[in-house]
Amino acid sequence: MLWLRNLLARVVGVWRADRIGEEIDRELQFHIDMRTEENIRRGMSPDEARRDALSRFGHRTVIKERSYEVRGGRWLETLWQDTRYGARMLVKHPGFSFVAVLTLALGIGANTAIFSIVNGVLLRPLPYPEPERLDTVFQQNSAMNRFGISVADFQGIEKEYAKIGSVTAFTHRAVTLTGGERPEQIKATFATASFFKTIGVMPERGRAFLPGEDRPEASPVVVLSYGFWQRQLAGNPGAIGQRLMLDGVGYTVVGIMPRGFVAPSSTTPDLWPILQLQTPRRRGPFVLGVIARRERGVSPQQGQAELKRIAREVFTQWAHTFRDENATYVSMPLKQALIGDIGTTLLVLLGAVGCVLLLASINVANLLLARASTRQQEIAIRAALGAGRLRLVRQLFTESLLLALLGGAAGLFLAVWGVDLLLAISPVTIPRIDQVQVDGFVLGFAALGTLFSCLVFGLMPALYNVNPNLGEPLKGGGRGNAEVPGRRRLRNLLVIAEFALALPLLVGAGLMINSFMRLQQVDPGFKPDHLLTVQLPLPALKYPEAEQAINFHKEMLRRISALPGVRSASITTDLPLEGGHTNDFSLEVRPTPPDQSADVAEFFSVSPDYFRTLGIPLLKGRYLSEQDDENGLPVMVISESMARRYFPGEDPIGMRLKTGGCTECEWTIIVGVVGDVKTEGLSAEDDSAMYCPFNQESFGIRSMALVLRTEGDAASFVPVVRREVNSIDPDLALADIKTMDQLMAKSLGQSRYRGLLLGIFALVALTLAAVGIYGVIAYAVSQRTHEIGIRIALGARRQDIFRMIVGHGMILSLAGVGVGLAASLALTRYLASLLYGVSSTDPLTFVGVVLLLVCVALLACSLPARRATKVDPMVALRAE
Amino acid sequence: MAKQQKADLLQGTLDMLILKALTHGPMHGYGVGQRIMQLAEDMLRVEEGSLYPALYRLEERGWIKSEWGTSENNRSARFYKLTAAGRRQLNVEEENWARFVSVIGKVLQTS
Repeated sequence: MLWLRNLLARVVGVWRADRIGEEIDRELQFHIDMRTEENIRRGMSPDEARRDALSRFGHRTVIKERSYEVRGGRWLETLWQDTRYGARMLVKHPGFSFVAVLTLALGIGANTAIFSIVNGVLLRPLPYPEPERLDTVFQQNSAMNRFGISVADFQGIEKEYAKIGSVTAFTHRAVTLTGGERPEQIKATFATASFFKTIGVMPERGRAFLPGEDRPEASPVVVLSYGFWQRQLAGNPGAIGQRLMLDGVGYTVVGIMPRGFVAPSSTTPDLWPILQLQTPRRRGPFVLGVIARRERGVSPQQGQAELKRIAREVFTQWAHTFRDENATYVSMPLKQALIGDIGTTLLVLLGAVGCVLLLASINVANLLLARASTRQQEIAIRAALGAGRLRLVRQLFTESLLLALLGGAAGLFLAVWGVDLLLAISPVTIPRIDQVQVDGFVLGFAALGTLFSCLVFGLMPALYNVNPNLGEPLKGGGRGNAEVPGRRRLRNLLVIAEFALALPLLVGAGLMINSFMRLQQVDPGFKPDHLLTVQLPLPALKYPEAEQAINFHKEMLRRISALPGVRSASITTDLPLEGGHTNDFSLEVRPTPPDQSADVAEFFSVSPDYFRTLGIPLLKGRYLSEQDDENGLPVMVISESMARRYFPGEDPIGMRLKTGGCTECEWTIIVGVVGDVKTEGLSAEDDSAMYCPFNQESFGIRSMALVLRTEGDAASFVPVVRREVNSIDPDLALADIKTMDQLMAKSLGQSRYRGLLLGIFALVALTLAAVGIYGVIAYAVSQRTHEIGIRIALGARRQDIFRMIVGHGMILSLAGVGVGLAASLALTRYLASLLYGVSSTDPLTFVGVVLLLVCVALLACSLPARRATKVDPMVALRAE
Repeated sequence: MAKQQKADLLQGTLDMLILKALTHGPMHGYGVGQRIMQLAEDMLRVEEGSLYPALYRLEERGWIKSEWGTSENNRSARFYKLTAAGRRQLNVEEENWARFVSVIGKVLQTS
């Protein structure tokens, strides 16, 4: 029969079409031929010669196999075999394959999508040369209170910091561009001469600012963004040297930034006009942003120490105009400053999707384990035919890997689409969001996720499925009803793990949704419906004196109030919820001691009708009135919080104070107390606030917002407002037109976003856990049909059977819930900063979530349990 | 006819014999087998096929090199050649073997 084997080997060799195999064959054949010839030479008959040659040679197939293994062809061939076999198995069970791939795709896709945002926002370095040397500089006088830099501060820093680096100051402002078809509001970042040099990116065309161009006597210049150049100037290469009219001042275009240049701020400006600093007369207002670049070799600590030293010098020099003994200059890495608090949200989301991926993998592992019992026979037969344990594990693992790769590929598609979706539903502009893209890092992460999930769901079943005890499954007669105890334990453990993972996710989502609902019920302190808000910046060139601006506003308010459908119209320096300016103050009755920082409160300059327009209630005294004008005594209205905090047990009406550290000013008299308004956003604390008449306090007089209360749809009043404004000044443009409802939605947005995303992830987790426990219990029931039949035959009642099956599920889910509770308690404190009005260990949320999870488990178990009670003992027994 | 007493090959010694056989110059696999038989004066029992996995293993380790050539009877055959590393390895193995034999011999001679 050797010839047959030989022939087979030949056939197999050709069929493999494998170069290595062929080569080995040729060589072995050569050997046998040589021996045969030699034998014939020695006088044997050809037949005898050949037989002798073969018998001396040994088992040719085995030798070939061994050779093949040494030559390294084995590995590849096995992989190919396993892959083809695995693919066949997947195609054979399309339902299973579909569910598994979809589960994995969701897990990997969600992870990759969130990671690509984390990567873009948190991980990628800032797109400037040596970004680690860049710092943001601000002032700080307590752990919570940070504020900007004044001109006096900046000039002090600029002079002294030159020894260890360079600094630049900037401020963001909307400006009106005139000279086109109609005036237009554009976003500008006014920056000092060293701006581009400090961040390290130069204009692509033209030049950056020159030293000295930021002095007031120099002629104004501007650098354009690529987008603005393309959009407004049609990419005209002759743009450099042109003049642009910004707020009525002519700026010469000197440079154009490269395409894709990312501004070192959360807003992306259209252009960068030079910031020309006037010689200050006092320290304040603190409105400039400052970026510093340390020289090479200067550590952040050294930079900070130097800033502290400069602060002492500058503060002493200006002590006669402003004192705050607790304040100093503080530097923070620019990247950290730009990211802000979005980092926590992103990391929480990443943790959540990580849990989801783990859950998905565990579910697939469970599916594979369940399926394994039906494959026990197949595996046993293969083992009996001589497949080694390692070989079988490898084959099963290859199948899992195939699943994981399919899931990973589908997940990557989901991720690309998911990132767009995540960004589209994101309410806030996430800083650095333009850095988000699918790059090598993201692909690597997706690959890692795939591999990780494959290890979780593939390796365990593979190891457990390969049962070294061959006899049992073969004896089982094909039903495979003897489950390996180790495997049953593993499946139970997996279900416990699923519940333990799902619980923290549900708790997190519960807390977020709870916060969101509470936030939604927060009283903003005014009536937000039917309010239209518009920013109305006045160019300083055209309105150089405060009086001109005041007159403009008076005339505009008169005309707009008279419009049909407008209930009332007013102006304010800052809109509610959007964050405002603060000012320090000193009470006549309790002056700030010289070595202490002055108290601060939100500071508004408003028209008298402001309170009526917004619906802010009067609590004491009176509102501001038309009589509180330039000629009247300086007056203000304060908020309830301020009254309670600074005048406890006193009547604030008639009390006097001075603001802004101004010592020579007249006293301002408090004439009324109004309700608190959420100034910094719905989740912010009620803050002390001061409201002054706009014609007494000229602060911010050129950057007022118009608010009007309308009848009917507020947004429909935009055209008439524009017409009225332009009938007074045709060069003015409206900016940031929003209804108050939109501002409310924006303030709720972050909270809603977090609640929504975590809610979705938690729902997925809940579904996966439910499917997981259902699968295990249903499988257990099918395994125990025989036993249940006997129990019923012996007189067990149906409800006993039901209780037994459900009890099994409940033990598993409760064990999981126990572990999950511990994990949740340990984890939710990281959410604390994202919550509003709910403690991170809110008992109600915890109890609710546990109940929900247990109910779902109960439901998932009761389906198979009902099936168990319907077992017909005769059928079950006869089936044996 | 008294049957000749043949020795089974000790585990791991085949590699050494192959290296030794190749010291006289390049040879194909069949030649290596013949050469070993000839050197052993037919006193060794070697399954001829087992030469090949051993040859491939030695080649993997870089002790021998192979290329296709033409045999003495004009057929294409794979020829093996000792490399410098193989020559060094042979020296090492010969020394080890000598030491092994002398030690075992000493043990067996003491009564």
